Amino acid sequence: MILLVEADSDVPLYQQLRDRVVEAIAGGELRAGDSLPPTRQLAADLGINMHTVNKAYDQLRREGLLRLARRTGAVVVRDPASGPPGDGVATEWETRARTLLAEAVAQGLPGAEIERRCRAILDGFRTGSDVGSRS
Amino acid sequence: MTLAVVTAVPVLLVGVMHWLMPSLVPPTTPFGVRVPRDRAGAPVVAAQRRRYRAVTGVVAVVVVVGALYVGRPWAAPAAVGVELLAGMACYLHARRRITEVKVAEDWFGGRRQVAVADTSLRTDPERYPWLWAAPAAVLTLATVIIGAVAYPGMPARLAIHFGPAGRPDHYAAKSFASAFGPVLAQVASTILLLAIAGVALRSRAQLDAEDPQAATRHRRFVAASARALLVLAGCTSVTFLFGSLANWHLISAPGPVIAALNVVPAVLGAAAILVVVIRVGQGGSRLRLGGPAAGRAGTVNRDDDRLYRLGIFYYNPDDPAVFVPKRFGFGWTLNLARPVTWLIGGLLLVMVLIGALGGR
Repeated sequence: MILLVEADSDVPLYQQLRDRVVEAIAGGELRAGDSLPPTRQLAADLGINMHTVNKAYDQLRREGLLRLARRTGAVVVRDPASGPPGDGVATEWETRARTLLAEAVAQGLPGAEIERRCRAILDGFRTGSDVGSRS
Repeated sequence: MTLAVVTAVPVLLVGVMHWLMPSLVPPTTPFGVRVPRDRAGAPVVAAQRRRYRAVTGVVAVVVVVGALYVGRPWAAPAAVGVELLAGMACYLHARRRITEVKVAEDWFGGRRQVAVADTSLRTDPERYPWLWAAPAAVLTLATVIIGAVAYPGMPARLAIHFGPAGRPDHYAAKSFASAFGPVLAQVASTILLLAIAGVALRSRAQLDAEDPQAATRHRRFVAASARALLVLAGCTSVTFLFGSLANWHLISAPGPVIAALNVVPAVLGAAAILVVVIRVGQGGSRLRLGGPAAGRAGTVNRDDDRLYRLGIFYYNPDDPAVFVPKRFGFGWTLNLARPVTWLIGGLLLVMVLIGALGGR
């Protein structure tokens, strides 16, 4: 998988890394059992601080998406096919989705337009996931 | 005649290296300056490349003529020294001019600067080519075994140095040190080269964000570099083995044959490295790969010029990488912000000092 981080973004680097991994899992590019590079090596490849990668991996671990091992680096432990989400995941996600949707509404995007865009994003993940499950 | 050859050949080699240098590096770092890909062919870049080649070419001719005119033994190394310094000055000039234009025209203005990693390079890394390491390992082991078996039967006086014609001109009383000193050097050099090949395989993948084939380039680059280093290790071991056999009086060959055994493997090892340098280029930049040439729209590589002081010395305390790609040239340089770098430097210094003192 290609990990791309933006140097001068307002979004912190660790957040960008975490977001890219979540998107890759949603799109089927990463599946349960897949490995991510050891912290040090990913940090070296991107030329960034090890703590930044650690922080991203740790957040993904707390979210139940990653398992960290000392020697093997990090392993993805769940994907869309792993069954229903854990307790409270949906509620917690809804809180943040509420803010995101509120931003669109406040900026004057019509409801239908928001729905259309959300649907397109979801469809994008689904086609990606189909591609992934073939291999 | 000899002086002319001794002077002209090294100067010519350095001249060829100077001529090659600008086209060995990736297009997005001409003369060590980070530029967006669509500026890789900017007039200032092309002009500085021409200028660098013209000036270093003229310098090569001038120093050869000058050295032959002086005609002293020190003139040959001095000629190469002057040539290298002039090359460095030309490089720094080109770098400064390109940087000036880049800053004045704000080449990175409004661009999205990114760093890219391909996780598959780490989760499915290039394997260590043990088969290529076998000749060096076997030859080194053979030297140790032959020496151990033959030691009791060796004469009381061992040849420890051979003159230019390949005839022994220095002898030492037989001892563990005089018999096995070169063997220890051989073991050390083999281990070092095998380890460097491993480091090369694991070295940081400095991927060009504007090149969709960057990961493939990196793979081919580290695989080829590691193999060239292992070929060099094998060649060095051949020289060491025959050197020891001659020291131990186990073989006696005419002087020219001994001399050839010294020179031929060295030339072969150097040739292996040169082939990789020219065909693969720094980071695989010279590989001709099919597929799409265009990168992600609107994204460019992070402008990391300030991390490479003078485009030569890499200093980045945030970066855990110790070995990083050279910005101008082929191979790797060290992250000077890492303590390990200074440890390695100290060890090399100690080895050089031991070598220098031991050689007296």
